[in-house]
Amino acid sequence: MTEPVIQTTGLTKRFDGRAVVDGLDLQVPPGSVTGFLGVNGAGKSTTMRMLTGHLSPSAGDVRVFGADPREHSAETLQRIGYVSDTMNLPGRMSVGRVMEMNAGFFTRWDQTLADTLCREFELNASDRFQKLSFGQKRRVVLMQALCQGADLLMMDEPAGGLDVLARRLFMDRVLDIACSEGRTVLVSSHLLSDLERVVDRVVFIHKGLLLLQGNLEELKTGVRRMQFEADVPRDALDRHFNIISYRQPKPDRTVSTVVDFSEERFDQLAADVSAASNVRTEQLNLEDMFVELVGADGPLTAVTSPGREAVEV
Amino acid sequence: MNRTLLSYDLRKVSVIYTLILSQWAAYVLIPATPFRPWDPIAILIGAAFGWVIAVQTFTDFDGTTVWIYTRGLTRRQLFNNRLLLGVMLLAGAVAVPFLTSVLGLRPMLHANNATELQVVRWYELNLTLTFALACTVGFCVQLFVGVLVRLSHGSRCTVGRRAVEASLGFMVMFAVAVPYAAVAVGRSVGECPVWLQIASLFAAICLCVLTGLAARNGFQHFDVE
Repeated sequence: MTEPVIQTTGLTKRFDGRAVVDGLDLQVPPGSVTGFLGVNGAGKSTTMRMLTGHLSPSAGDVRVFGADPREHSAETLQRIGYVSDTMNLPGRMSVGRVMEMNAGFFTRWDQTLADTLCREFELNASDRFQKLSFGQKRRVVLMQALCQGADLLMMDEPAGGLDVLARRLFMDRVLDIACSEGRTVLVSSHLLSDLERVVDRVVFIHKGLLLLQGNLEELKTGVRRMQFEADVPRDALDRHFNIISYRQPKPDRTVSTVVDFSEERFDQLAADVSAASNVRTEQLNLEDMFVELVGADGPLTAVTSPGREAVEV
Repeated sequence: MNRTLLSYDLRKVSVIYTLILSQWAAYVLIPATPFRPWDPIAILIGAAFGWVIAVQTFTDFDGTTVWIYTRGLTRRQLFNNRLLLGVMLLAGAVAVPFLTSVLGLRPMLHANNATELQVVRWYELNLTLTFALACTVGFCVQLFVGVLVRLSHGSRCTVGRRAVEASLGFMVMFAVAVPYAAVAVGRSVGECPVWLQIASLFAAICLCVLTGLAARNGFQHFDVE
Protein backbone atom coordinates (compact mmCIF):
# COMPACT_ATOMS: atom_id res chain seq x y z
CA MET A 1 0.00 0.00 0.00
CA THR A 2 1.26 3.49 -0.84
CA GLU A 3 2.37 5.50 2.15
CA PRO A 4 0.03 8.40 2.95
CA VAL A 5 1.41 11.88 2.27
CA ILE A 6 -0.09 13.04 5.54
CA GLN A 7 -0.55 10.75 8.49
CA THR A 8 -1.37 11.74 12.03
CA THR A 9 -1.82 9.45 14.99
CA GLY A 10 -3.60 10.68 18.09
CA LEU A 11 -2.70 14.24 17.14
CA THR A 12 -3.67 16.54 19.98
CA LYS A 13 -3.20 20.24 20.58
CA ARG A 14 -4.14 21.94 23.80
CA PHE A 15 -4.21 25.65 24.45
CA ASP A 16 -4.30 26.51 28.14
CA GLY A 17 -5.39 22.99 28.94
CA ARG A 18 -8.27 23.01 26.44
CA ALA A 19 -8.02 20.48 23.61
CA VAL A 20 -8.49 22.25 20.28
CA VAL A 21 -7.49 19.14 18.35
CA ASP A 22 -8.17 15.91 20.15
CA GLY A 23 -6.63 12.60 19.12
CA LEU A 24 -6.87 13.15 15.38
CA ASP A 25 -6.04 10.14 13.20
CA LEU A 26 -5.85 11.64 9.76
CA GLN A 27 -4.73 10.03 6.52
CA VAL A 28 -4.27 11.75 3.20
CA PRO A 29 -3.19 9.39 0.40
CA PRO A 30 -0.95 10.64 -2.41
CA GLY A 31 -2.73 12.24 -5.35
CA SER A 32 -5.96 12.69 -3.44
CA VAL A 33 -7.92 15.91 -3.13
CA THR A 34 -9.21 15.99 0.41
CA GLY A 35 -11.79 18.37 1.76
CA PHE A 36 -11.16 19.21 5.41
CA LEU A 37 -14.51 20.20 6.78
CA GLY A 38 -15.70 21.62 10.03
CA VAL A 39 -17.37 24.67 11.51
CA ASN A 40 -15.36 27.68 12.69
CA GLY A 41 -13.26 26.68 15.67
CA ALA A 42 -13.42 22.97 14.81
CA GLY A 43 -9.62 22.73 14.80
CA LYS A 44 -8.92 22.80 11.04
CA SER A 45 -6.44 25.68 11.05
CA THR A 46 -4.63 24.37 14.12
CA THR A 47 -4.31 20.97 12.48
CA MET A 48 -2.93 22.52 9.31
CA ARG A 49 -0.43 24.56 11.30
CA MET A 50 0.77 21.38 12.97
CA LEU A 51 1.05 19.75 9.54
CA THR A 52 3.30 22.59 8.39
CA GLY A 53 5.41 22.34 11.55
CA HIS A 54 4.47 25.84 12.70
CA LEU A 55 2.83 24.47 15.82
CA SER A 56 4.00 21.63 17.98
CA PRO A 57 1.50 18.93 18.95
CA SER A 58 0.72 18.55 22.65
CA ALA A 59 0.51 14.80 22.04
CA GLY A 60 0.45 12.35 19.19
CA ASP A 61 2.46 12.01 16.05
CA VAL A 62 2.40 13.84 12.74
CA ARG A 63 4.08 12.71 9.53
CA VAL A 64 4.18 14.60 6.28
CA PHE A 65 6.06 12.89 3.45
CA GLY A 66 7.04 10.31 6.05
CA ALA A 67 8.79 12.73 8.41
CA ASP A 68 8.05 15.09 11.25
CA PRO A 69 7.33 18.45 9.56
CA ARG A 70 9.42 20.27 12.18
CA GLU A 71 12.45 18.37 10.96
CA HIS A 72 11.89 18.67 7.23
CA SER A 73 14.84 19.44 5.02
CA ALA A 74 14.73 22.41 2.67
CA GLU A 75 14.09 19.99 -0.24
CA THR A 76 10.98 18.60 1.47
CA LEU A 77 9.78 22.06 2.47
CA GLN A 78 9.98 23.07 -1.19
CA ARG A 79 7.44 20.34 -1.94
CA ILE A 80 4.85 21.76 0.43
CA GLY A 81 2.65 24.70 -0.48
CA TYR A 82 0.64 26.33 2.26
CA VAL A 83 -1.98 29.04 2.20
CA SER A 84 -3.35 30.19 5.51
CA ASP A 85 -6.49 32.23 5.95
CA THR A 86 -4.49 35.06 7.51
CA MET A 87 -1.35 35.00 5.39
CA ASN A 88 -0.01 38.44 4.60
CA LEU A 89 2.73 39.47 2.21
CA PRO A 90 5.10 42.41 2.55
CA GLY A 91 2.85 45.39 1.89
CA ARG A 92 5.35 47.57 0.03
CA MET A 93 6.28 44.82 -2.40
CA SER A 94 4.72 44.81 -5.87
CA VAL A 95 2.96 41.78 -7.29
CA GLY A 96 5.73 41.33 -9.84
CA ARG A 97 8.40 41.51 -7.15
CA VAL A 98 6.52 38.92 -5.05
CA MET A 99 6.61 36.56 -8.01
CA GLU A 100 10.29 37.26 -8.63
CA MET A 101 11.08 36.54 -5.01
CA ASN A 102 9.18 33.27 -5.08
CA ALA A 103 11.12 32.27 -8.17
CA GLY A 104 14.23 32.76 -6.07
CA PHE A 105 12.90 30.76 -3.16
CA PHE A 106 11.45 27.81 -5.07
CA THR A 107 13.50 25.78 -7.50
CA ARG A 108 10.36 24.45 -9.25
CA TRP A 109 8.66 27.82 -9.64
CA ASP A 110 6.45 27.95 -12.75
CA GLN A 111 6.80 31.45 -14.17
CA THR A 112 4.62 30.67 -17.22
CA LEU A 113 1.75 29.72 -14.93
CA ALA A 114 2.40 32.80 -12.81
CA ASP A 115 2.14 35.06 -15.86
CA THR A 116 -1.01 33.30 -17.03
CA LEU A 117 -2.66 33.58 -13.63
CA CYS A 118 -1.65 37.22 -13.35
CA ARG A 119 -3.61 37.90 -16.53
CA GLU A 120 -6.56 35.68 -15.56
CA PHE A 121 -6.85 37.20 -12.11
CA GLU A 122 -6.47 40.69 -13.60
CA LEU A 123 -3.49 41.56 -11.45
CA ASN A 124 -1.11 44.32 -12.38
CA ALA A 125 2.51 43.36 -11.75
CA SER A 126 3.43 46.88 -10.70
CA ASP A 127 0.69 47.20 -8.04
CA ARG A 128 1.89 47.15 -4.47
CA PHE A 129 0.41 44.43 -2.29
CA GLN A 130 -0.88 46.90 0.31
CA LYS A 131 -2.82 48.77 -2.38
CA LEU A 132 -4.72 45.68 -3.53
CA SER A 133 -8.29 44.90 -2.54
CA PHE A 134 -8.95 42.01 -0.19
CA GLY A 135 -9.94 39.73 -3.05
CA GLN A 136 -6.84 40.61 -5.07
CA LYS A 137 -4.62 39.93 -2.06
CA ARG A 138 -6.14 36.47 -1.71
CA ARG A 139 -5.44 35.87 -5.39
CA VAL A 140 -1.79 36.78 -5.03
CA VAL A 141 -1.41 34.59 -1.96
CA LEU A 142 -2.97 31.64 -3.77
CA MET A 143 -1.13 32.29 -7.00
CA GLN A 144 2.23 31.91 -5.35
CA ALA A 145 1.19 28.62 -3.73
CA LEU A 146 -0.04 27.26 -7.05
CA CYS A 147 3.08 28.25 -8.98
CA GLN A 148 5.70 26.98 -6.55
CA GLY A 149 5.42 23.48 -7.99
CA ALA A 150 4.47 21.84 -4.69
CA ASP A 151 3.57 18.17 -4.49
CA LEU A 152 1.37 18.83 -1.48
CA LEU A 153 -0.89 21.86 -1.28
CA MET A 154 -2.55 22.76 1.99
CA MET A 155 -5.10 25.53 1.67
CA ASP A 156 -6.91 26.87 4.68
CA GLU A 157 -10.05 28.73 3.64
CA PRO A 158 -8.44 29.81 0.35
CA ALA A 159 -11.38 31.94 -0.71
CA GLY A 160 -12.52 33.07 2.71
CA GLY A 161 -14.02 36.56 2.75
CA LEU A 162 -14.76 36.75 -0.98
CA ASP A 163 -18.25 37.36 -2.31
CA VAL A 164 -20.23 34.42 -3.67
CA LEU A 165 -19.60 35.02 -7.37
CA ALA A 166 -15.91 35.74 -6.96
CA ARG A 167 -15.53 32.72 -4.73
CA ARG A 168 -17.21 30.46 -7.23
CA LEU A 169 -15.13 31.57 -10.22
CA PHE A 170 -11.99 31.73 -8.19
CA MET A 171 -12.35 28.36 -6.48
CA ASP A 172 -13.08 26.64 -9.79
CA ARG A 173 -9.84 27.87 -11.31
CA VAL A 174 -7.72 27.43 -8.23
CA LEU A 175 -8.90 23.92 -7.51
CA ASP A 176 -8.61 23.03 -11.19
CA ILE A 177 -4.91 23.92 -11.12
CA ALA A 178 -4.32 22.58 -7.64
CA CYS A 179 -5.78 19.21 -8.51
CA SER A 180 -3.85 18.82 -11.76
CA GLU A 181 -0.55 17.00 -12.20
CA GLY A 182 -1.30 14.44 -9.51
CA ARG A 183 -0.82 16.83 -6.64
CA THR A 184 -2.06 15.98 -3.21
CA VAL A 185 -4.39 18.66 -1.96
CA LEU A 186 -5.83 19.28 1.48
CA VAL A 187 -8.32 22.10 1.40
CA SER A 188 -10.63 23.49 4.04
CA SER A 189 -13.54 25.61 2.97
CA HIS A 190 -17.08 26.48 3.85
CA LEU A 191 -17.99 26.31 0.18
CA LEU A 192 -19.14 22.73 0.31
CA SER A 193 -20.95 22.74 -3.02
CA ASP A 194 -17.77 23.87 -4.77
CA LEU A 195 -15.64 21.39 -2.90
CA GLU A 196 -18.01 18.58 -3.72
CA ARG A 197 -17.22 18.98 -7.41
CA VAL A 198 -13.49 18.44 -6.98
CA VAL A 199 -12.67 16.52 -3.81
CA ASP A 200 -12.41 12.76 -3.80
CA ARG A 201 -12.01 12.42 -0.05
CA VAL A 202 -13.50 14.26 2.86
CA VAL A 203 -12.59 14.59 6.51
CA PHE A 204 -15.16 15.90 8.95
CA ILE A 205 -13.85 17.40 12.16
CA HIS A 206 -15.85 18.92 14.99
CA LYS A 207 -14.65 20.35 18.30
CA GLY A 208 -11.23 18.89 17.57
CA LEU A 209 -12.55 15.38 17.06
CA LEU A 210 -12.41 13.45 13.84
CA LEU A 211 -15.98 12.50 13.06
CA LEU A 212 -15.68 10.83 9.71
CA GLN A 213 -13.19 10.47 6.89
CA GLY A 214 -13.18 8.59 3.66
CA ASN A 215 -13.77 8.46 -0.06
CA LEU A 216 -16.54 10.86 -1.03
CA GLU A 217 -18.32 8.52 -3.45
CA GLU A 218 -18.28 5.67 -0.96
CA LEU A 219 -19.49 8.00 1.76
CA LYS A 220 -22.32 9.13 -0.47
CA THR A 221 -23.30 5.52 -1.01
CA GLY A 222 -23.07 4.64 2.67
CA VAL A 223 -24.47 7.75 4.27
CA ARG A 224 -28.26 7.65 4.03
CA ARG A 225 -31.07 9.43 5.73
CA MET A 226 -33.82 6.94 6.58
CA GLN A 227 -37.30 8.19 7.29
CA PHE A 228 -39.52 5.62 8.96
CA GLU A 229 -43.27 6.09 9.21
CA ALA A 230 -43.11 4.33 12.54
CA ASP A 231 -41.48 4.44 15.92
CA VAL A 232 -38.15 2.70 15.45
CA PRO A 233 -36.15 2.57 18.68
CA ARG A 234 -32.61 3.91 18.58
CA ASP A 235 -31.09 0.79 20.09
CA ALA A 236 -32.61 -1.28 17.26
CA LEU A 237 -30.93 0.98 14.71
CA ASP A 238 -27.72 0.94 16.73
CA ARG A 239 -27.53 -2.83 16.39
CA HIS A 240 -27.30 -2.62 12.60
CA PHE A 241 -25.88 0.78 11.67
CA ASN A 242 -23.48 3.49 12.75
CA ILE A 243 -25.83 6.36 13.47
CA ILE A 244 -24.95 9.98 12.80
CA SER A 245 -28.26 11.43 13.90
CA TYR A 246 -31.52 10.20 15.32
CA ARG A 247 -34.69 12.13 15.97
CA GLN A 248 -38.42 11.59 16.28
CA PRO A 249 -40.25 14.66 15.02
CA LYS A 250 -43.57 12.89 15.75
CA PRO A 251 -44.32 9.84 17.91
CA ASP A 252 -44.96 7.70 14.83
CA ARG A 253 -42.11 9.08 12.72
CA THR A 254 -38.38 8.40 13.01
CA VAL A 255 -35.63 10.07 11.03
CA SER A 256 -32.12 8.75 11.28
CA THR A 257 -28.95 9.19 9.28
CA VAL A 258 -26.43 6.37 9.17
CA VAL A 259 -22.96 6.09 7.64
CA ASP A 260 -22.92 2.46 6.58
CA PHE A 261 -26.18 1.81 4.80
CA SER A 262 -26.50 -1.33 2.73
CA GLU A 263 -29.49 -3.39 1.57
CA GLU A 264 -28.21 -6.35 3.52
CA ARG A 265 -28.03 -4.41 6.78
CA PHE A 266 -31.43 -2.90 6.12
CA ASP A 267 -32.97 -6.34 5.56
CA GLN A 268 -31.53 -7.41 8.90
CA LEU A 269 -33.10 -4.36 10.55
CA ALA A 270 -36.46 -5.06 8.90
CA ALA A 271 -36.30 -8.62 10.15
CA ASP A 272 -35.51 -7.33 13.63
CA VAL A 273 -38.13 -4.53 13.71
CA SER A 274 -41.06 -5.15 11.40
CA ALA A 275 -42.23 -1.52 11.55
CA ALA A 276 -38.91 -0.47 10.03
CA SER A 277 -39.81 -1.92 6.64
CA ASN A 278 -41.84 1.19 5.85
CA VAL A 279 -38.96 3.44 5.05
CA ARG A 280 -37.84 6.08 2.59
CA THR A 281 -34.07 6.38 2.14
CA GLU A 282 -32.31 9.39 0.78
CA GLN A 283 -28.72 9.96 -0.35
CA LEU A 284 -27.14 13.10 1.02
CA ASN A 285 -24.95 15.62 -0.67
CA LEU A 286 -21.84 16.92 1.07
CA GLU A 287 -23.61 19.88 2.60
CA ASP A 288 -26.41 17.77 4.07
CA MET A 289 -23.85 15.27 5.32
CA PHE A 290 -21.99 18.10 6.99
CA VAL A 291 -25.14 19.44 8.63
CA GLU A 292 -26.14 15.99 9.84
CA LEU A 293 -22.69 15.39 11.30
CA VAL A 294 -22.02 18.68 13.01
CA GLY A 295 -25.54 20.07 13.35
CA ALA A 296 -27.52 20.19 16.57
CA ASP A 297 -28.48 16.55 16.30
CA GLY A 298 -25.11 15.38 15.11
CA PRO A 299 -22.70 13.34 17.17
CA LEU A 300 -20.49 15.04 19.72
CA THR A 301 -18.00 12.23 19.55
CA ALA A 302 -16.47 10.34 16.67
CA VAL A 303 -18.85 8.17 14.71
CA THR A 304 -17.79 4.81 15.97
CA SER A 305 -18.08 1.33 14.72
CA PRO A 306 -16.93 -1.87 16.47
CA GLY A 307 -13.15 -1.95 16.75
CA ARG A 308 -12.66 1.48 15.25
CA GLU A 309 -12.15 4.93 16.62
CA ALA A 310 -13.85 6.71 13.76
CA VAL A 311 -15.51 5.39 10.67
CA GLU A 312 -13.33 5.15 7.62
CA VAL A 313 -15.09 4.42 4.41
CA MET B 1 23.27 31.89 1.85
CA ASN B 2 19.95 32.43 0.15
CA ARG B 3 20.26 35.47 -2.10
CA THR B 4 16.52 36.04 -2.30
CA LEU B 5 16.13 36.12 1.46
CA LEU B 6 19.19 38.31 1.70
CA SER B 7 17.74 40.84 -0.74
CA TYR B 8 14.37 40.75 1.07
CA ASP B 9 15.91 41.35 4.48
CA LEU B 10 18.32 43.92 3.10
CA ARG B 11 15.41 45.87 1.67
CA LYS B 12 13.67 45.59 5.04
CA VAL B 13 16.56 47.14 6.96
CA SER B 14 17.94 49.48 4.29
CA VAL B 15 16.18 52.69 5.35
CA ILE B 16 17.02 52.54 9.05
CA TYR B 17 20.51 51.24 8.28
CA THR B 18 21.30 54.10 5.91
CA LEU B 19 19.93 56.58 8.41
CA ILE B 20 22.02 55.36 11.34
CA LEU B 21 25.10 54.72 9.23
CA SER B 22 25.05 58.27 7.89
CA GLN B 23 24.73 59.64 11.44
CA TRP B 24 27.61 57.43 12.54
CA ALA B 25 29.77 58.46 9.58
CA ALA B 26 29.06 62.10 10.34
CA TYR B 27 30.02 61.60 13.97
CA VAL B 28 33.29 59.94 12.97
CA LEU B 29 34.22 62.45 10.28
CA ILE B 30 33.10 65.84 11.51
CA PRO B 31 34.77 66.34 14.95
CA ALA B 32 38.18 67.96 14.64
CA THR B 33 39.36 66.74 18.05
CA PRO B 34 40.94 63.31 18.39
CA PHE B 35 38.81 60.40 19.61
CA ARG B 36 39.49 58.64 22.88
CA PRO B 37 39.59 54.84 22.63
CA TRP B 38 36.53 54.46 24.93
CA ASP B 39 34.41 57.19 23.41
CA PRO B 40 31.04 57.06 25.26
CA ILE B 41 29.00 58.36 22.32
CA ALA B 42 30.55 55.78 20.00
CA ILE B 43 29.65 53.08 22.53
CA LEU B 44 26.10 54.40 22.74
CA ILE B 45 25.69 54.60 18.97
CA GLY B 46 27.26 51.15 18.57
CA ALA B 47 24.96 49.51 21.12
CA ALA B 48 21.87 51.17 19.64
CA PHE B 49 22.99 50.25 16.14
CA GLY B 50 23.46 46.58 17.03
CA TRP B 51 20.10 46.52 18.76
CA VAL B 52 18.26 48.11 15.81
CA ILE B 53 19.87 45.81 13.27
CA ALA B 54 18.92 42.72 15.31
CA VAL B 55 15.32 43.92 15.65
CA GLN B 56 15.03 44.76 11.96
CA THR B 57 16.58 41.59 10.59
CA PHE B 58 14.87 39.11 12.91
CA THR B 59 11.40 40.62 13.07
CA ASP B 60 8.82 40.02 10.38
CA PHE B 61 6.48 42.97 10.41
CA ASP B 62 2.88 43.31 9.15
CA GLY B 63 1.95 39.67 9.73
CA THR B 64 4.44 38.32 7.20
CA THR B 65 5.87 35.68 9.55
CA VAL B 66 3.85 32.80 8.10
CA TRP B 67 4.76 33.89 4.59
CA ILE B 68 8.49 33.92 5.25
CA TYR B 69 8.35 30.63 7.16
CA THR B 70 6.70 28.91 4.19
CA ARG B 71 9.27 29.92 1.56
CA GLY B 72 10.97 26.54 1.48
CA LEU B 73 13.73 27.36 3.95
CA THR B 74 14.45 25.49 7.15
CA ARG B 75 14.39 27.49 10.35
CA ARG B 76 18.12 27.00 10.71
CA GLN B 77 18.69 28.41 7.23
CA LEU B 78 16.44 31.33 8.05
CA PHE B 79 18.28 32.11 11.27
CA ASN B 80 21.74 31.64 9.79
CA ASN B 81 20.93 33.86 6.81
CA ARG B 82 19.69 36.61 9.04
CA LEU B 83 22.57 36.28 11.46
CA LEU B 84 25.01 36.51 8.58
CA LEU B 85 23.22 39.56 7.19
CA GLY B 86 23.30 41.20 10.63
CA VAL B 87 27.02 40.55 10.95
CA MET B 88 27.63 41.95 7.45
CA LEU B 89 25.69 45.10 8.27
CA LEU B 90 27.59 45.53 11.51
CA ALA B 91 30.84 45.00 9.65
CA GLY B 92 29.82 47.77 7.27
CA ALA B 93 29.39 50.17 10.17
CA VAL B 94 32.62 49.04 11.82
CA ALA B 95 34.42 49.76 8.55
CA VAL B 96 33.52 53.44 8.85
CA PRO B 97 35.93 54.41 11.68
CA PHE B 98 38.49 51.93 10.38
CA LEU B 99 38.57 53.38 6.88
CA THR B 100 38.39 56.90 8.25
CA SER B 101 41.59 56.29 10.22
CA VAL B 102 43.40 54.20 7.61
CA LEU B 103 42.61 56.48 4.68
CA GLY B 104 43.21 59.60 6.74
CA LEU B 105 39.84 61.08 5.86
CA ARG B 106 39.64 63.33 8.90
CA PRO B 107 43.04 64.95 8.29
CA MET B 108 41.96 65.56 4.71
CA LEU B 109 38.63 67.04 5.77
CA HIS B 110 40.13 69.30 8.40
CA ALA B 111 43.34 70.12 6.54
CA ASN B 112 42.57 73.81 6.32
CA ASN B 113 41.42 74.52 9.87
CA ALA B 114 43.36 72.24 12.18
CA THR B 115 46.99 71.69 11.41
CA GLU B 116 47.40 69.17 14.22
CA LEU B 117 44.99 66.84 12.42
CA GLN B 118 46.96 66.76 9.19
CA VAL B 119 48.65 63.57 10.27
CA VAL B 120 46.97 60.20 10.61
CA ARG B 121 46.46 59.33 14.26
CA TRP B 122 46.78 55.55 14.31
CA TYR B 123 45.68 55.31 17.92
CA GLU B 124 42.19 56.35 16.71
CA LEU B 125 41.89 52.84 15.31
CA ASN B 126 41.02 51.86 18.88
CA LEU B 127 37.64 53.46 18.26
CA THR B 128 36.96 50.76 15.68
CA LEU B 129 37.38 48.06 18.30
CA THR B 130 35.25 49.95 20.81
CA PHE B 131 32.47 50.41 18.29
CA ALA B 132 32.71 46.82 17.05
CA LEU B 133 32.35 45.50 20.59
CA ALA B 134 29.49 47.85 21.42
CA CYS B 135 27.42 47.00 18.36
CA THR B 136 28.12 43.26 18.62
CA VAL B 137 27.02 43.28 22.25
CA GLY B 138 23.92 45.34 21.35
CA PHE B 139 23.08 42.88 18.58
CA CYS B 140 23.54 39.79 20.74
CA VAL B 141 21.69 41.27 23.70
CA GLN B 142 18.67 41.94 21.48
CA LEU B 143 18.77 38.38 20.13
CA PHE B 144 18.96 37.09 23.66
CA VAL B 145 16.23 39.40 24.96
CA GLY B 146 14.03 38.54 21.97
CA VAL B 147 14.07 34.87 22.91
CA LEU B 148 13.70 35.66 26.60
CA VAL B 149 10.66 37.87 26.02
CA ARG B 150 8.97 35.25 23.88
CA LEU B 151 9.60 32.60 26.52
CA SER B 152 8.30 34.81 29.31
CA HIS B 153 5.21 35.68 27.26
CA GLY B 154 4.37 32.01 26.99
CA SER B 155 5.41 31.37 23.40
CA ARG B 156 5.32 27.67 22.80
CA CYS B 157 8.29 25.76 21.46
CA THR B 158 8.01 23.14 18.75
CA VAL B 159 10.59 20.99 20.51
CA GLY B 160 12.71 21.18 23.60
CA ARG B 161 11.41 24.17 25.54
CA ARG B 162 13.60 23.00 28.41
CA ALA B 163 16.66 23.01 26.16
CA VAL B 164 15.90 26.60 25.16
CA GLU B 165 15.43 27.61 28.78
CA ALA B 166 18.61 25.80 29.80
CA SER B 167 20.67 27.48 27.10
CA LEU B 168 19.33 30.90 28.10
CA GLY B 169 19.95 30.17 31.78
CA PHE B 170 23.49 29.17 30.96
CA MET B 171 23.97 32.40 29.07
CA VAL B 172 22.67 34.51 31.94
CA MET B 173 25.11 32.81 34.31
CA PHE B 174 27.94 33.26 31.83
CA ALA B 175 27.08 36.92 31.29
CA VAL B 176 27.12 37.49 35.06
CA ALA B 177 30.27 35.44 35.66
CA VAL B 178 32.43 37.11 33.01
CA PRO B 179 32.48 40.68 34.46
CA TYR B 180 32.93 39.33 38.00
CA ALA B 181 35.85 37.20 36.87
CA ALA B 182 37.32 40.17 34.99
CA VAL B 183 37.04 42.42 38.09
CA ALA B 184 38.52 39.71 40.35
CA VAL B 185 41.46 39.09 38.04
CA GLY B 186 41.94 42.83 37.50
CA ARG B 187 42.15 43.46 41.26
CA SER B 188 44.65 40.69 41.79
CA VAL B 189 46.83 41.83 38.90
CA GLY B 190 46.73 45.57 39.61
CA GLU B 191 47.37 47.44 36.36
CA CYS B 192 45.71 45.90 33.35
CA PRO B 193 48.31 44.04 31.35
CA VAL B 194 47.98 43.17 27.67
CA TRP B 195 47.16 39.53 28.33
CA LEU B 196 44.19 40.57 30.47
CA GLN B 197 42.94 42.89 27.77
CA ILE B 198 43.17 40.06 25.26
CA ALA B 199 41.48 37.67 27.68
CA SER B 200 38.59 40.07 28.32
CA LEU B 201 38.19 40.61 24.59
CA PHE B 202 38.16 36.86 24.08
CA ALA B 203 35.54 36.51 26.84
CA ALA B 204 33.40 39.19 25.18
CA ILE B 205 33.63 37.37 21.85
CA CYS B 206 32.74 34.07 23.55
CA LEU B 207 29.79 35.78 25.20
CA CYS B 208 28.54 37.05 21.85
CA VAL B 209 29.01 33.72 20.09
CA LEU B 210 27.31 31.75 22.84
CA THR B 211 24.47 34.26 23.05
CA GLY B 212 24.03 33.87 19.31
CA LEU B 213 23.89 30.08 19.67
CA ALA B 214 21.40 30.29 22.54
CA ALA B 215 19.25 32.68 20.48
CA ARG B 216 19.43 30.37 17.48
CA ASN B 217 18.28 27.50 19.65
CA GLY B 218 15.31 29.60 20.72
CA PHE B 219 14.40 31.07 17.34
CA GLN B 220 14.51 27.65 15.71
CA HIS B 221 12.18 26.06 18.17
CA PHE B 222 9.49 28.63 18.75
CA ASP B 223 6.04 28.03 17.35
CA VAL B 224 5.21 30.33 14.46
CA GLU B 225 2.46 32.54 15.88
